[in-house]
Amino acid sequence: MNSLSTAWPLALAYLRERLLATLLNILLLALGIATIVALLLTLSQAEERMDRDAAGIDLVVGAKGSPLQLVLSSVFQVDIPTGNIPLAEAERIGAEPVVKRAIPLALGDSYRSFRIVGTNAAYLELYGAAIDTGRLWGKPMEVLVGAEVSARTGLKLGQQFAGTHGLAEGGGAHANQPFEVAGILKPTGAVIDRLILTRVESIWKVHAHAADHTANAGEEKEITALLIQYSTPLAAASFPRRVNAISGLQAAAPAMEIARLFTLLGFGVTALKLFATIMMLCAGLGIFIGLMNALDDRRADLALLRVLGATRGTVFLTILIQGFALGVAGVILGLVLGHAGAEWIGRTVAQVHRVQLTGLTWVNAEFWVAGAALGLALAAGLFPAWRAYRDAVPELLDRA
Amino acid sequence: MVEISGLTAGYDGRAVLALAHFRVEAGQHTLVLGPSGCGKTTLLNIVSGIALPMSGEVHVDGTRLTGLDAAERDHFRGRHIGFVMQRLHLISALSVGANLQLAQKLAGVPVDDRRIQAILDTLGIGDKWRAWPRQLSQGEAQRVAIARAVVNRPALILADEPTAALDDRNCEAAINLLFDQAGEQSATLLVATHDQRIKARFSQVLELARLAS
Repeated sequence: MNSLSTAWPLALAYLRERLLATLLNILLLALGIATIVALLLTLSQAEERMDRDAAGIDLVVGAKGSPLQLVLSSVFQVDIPTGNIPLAEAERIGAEPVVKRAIPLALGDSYRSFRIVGTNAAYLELYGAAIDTGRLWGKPMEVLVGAEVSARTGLKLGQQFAGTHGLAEGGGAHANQPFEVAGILKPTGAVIDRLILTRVESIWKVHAHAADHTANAGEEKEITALLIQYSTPLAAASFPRRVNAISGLQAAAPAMEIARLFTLLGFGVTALKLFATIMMLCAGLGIFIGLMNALDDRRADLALLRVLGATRGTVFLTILIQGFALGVAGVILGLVLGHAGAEWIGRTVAQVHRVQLTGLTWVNAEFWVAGAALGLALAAGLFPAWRAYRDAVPELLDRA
Repeated sequence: MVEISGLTAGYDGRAVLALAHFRVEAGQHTLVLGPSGCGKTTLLNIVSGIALPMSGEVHVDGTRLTGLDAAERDHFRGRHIGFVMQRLHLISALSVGANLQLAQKLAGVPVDDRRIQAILDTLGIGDKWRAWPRQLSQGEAQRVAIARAVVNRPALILADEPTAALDDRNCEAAINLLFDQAGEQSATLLVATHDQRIKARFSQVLELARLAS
């Protein structure tokens, strides 16, 4: 006799009989799994994106202040800059022999809250950005528009627009110094998609003009930051220290700052993971309690099964499979909810905050979550199943 | 059909039943009569292989039960013995039809829906295939229990107090059904009861008394 083929339909019939309890158990397990899965998706995508944005940048040189702020503002384009540095200093640093590539960044203006970044063609190379339509900027005030900017603002080839002073909407407009769209970039999946790029001179031109108004002409030229790629990894040992020795300048390594950021976030992430784990454990406990109660209610049934010729093994399997089936259903529902939740957050909340998040991807850690949940459900069924296995039929009949 | 010799049986090392020799021929419907505590249920448990005796030999339908292991006895019971109990336990999570299919599966015989339908028809509950146990009247539930006991064409049908909870009319009906079905399936009945009302129907009566302790 094939015990499994008997035990499966029986287990499912028992679960169906207590439908409400079954659904609650599944839901509780699914919510725990969904929370962990959504967290994993968010974290892995944030890390992946930060790695992509920081790829090829060994060091950022900018004005003194918080090194994390410098990295966030000039690599990830999220925080406000720490200030400006003199162009002459930046050029001297860029000319050092250990520097393979030095990309200037001039920040300060935006268009509908998308940043306008003064830089050079090396910045495009850094992210492997290709021009979709149009051409590279020629004269100052010509811009290249990132794919997402183009999609969201509707900026088209040849269109003129005025930049806004400051990095958020609502600053004063530079209406008499309009930019013109020379080209639109293909999507890269990196930060460049959300930027409007132009030559550094354009930024100087806008602000020199503005400076005229405030009678501050003749100031020396400045940029916001310099992104540096070393020609040798050995440079990391001494080069940042040399930069930091120059007054007004600081050097920050993106890799270190990202690591520091994740350490800061670590507590919140750990708390969330712990919360979700407790939810899963509660779900496991719920399955255990449900099966134990059912065991008491069904002593008569178990005795009957044995009388009808079921072996101890079949009875054992019937109960174990109930736990397993709850686990499988919980895992499937949890994965669906987790991914749907991440996708939903990506489409609503994240859009507003310029964070990209999708639920339509898979993280390998999810295998572990699914495996742990299944193991938990099986473990929850093990003791009730063993109890049913252990009891001899006469005892079951007595208690029935 | 049943051959028992030198039997003592009980639990926790205490004998509640001693039977030097007991024999039931094929077709010889037998009643085991006695007050509660005399070992009636223990005898049925021994004959069906649910429990092992403390000593003695038990043969059922040509098989030496005392020589089988636990799983073999479970299989033997499923295949060769039909069981009717005092309370007519059906699996409440399964429909009437599924309850009978389960009995076939547990006996290790192929599920035979036509056989099931035929038995339900014979017992006048042919329209109850999809009904749930809780939707059945007591009489209907009893018929389903009898249908399940005979569905695998057992050689031996054991019944433990099948009539104790019934009034005279239902008692009569239940015994008639059991005899009819046993006759139709060529099965032998072994009924344990303290119910004196049904004594007259049986060709052999084994009267048990409590063992002096």
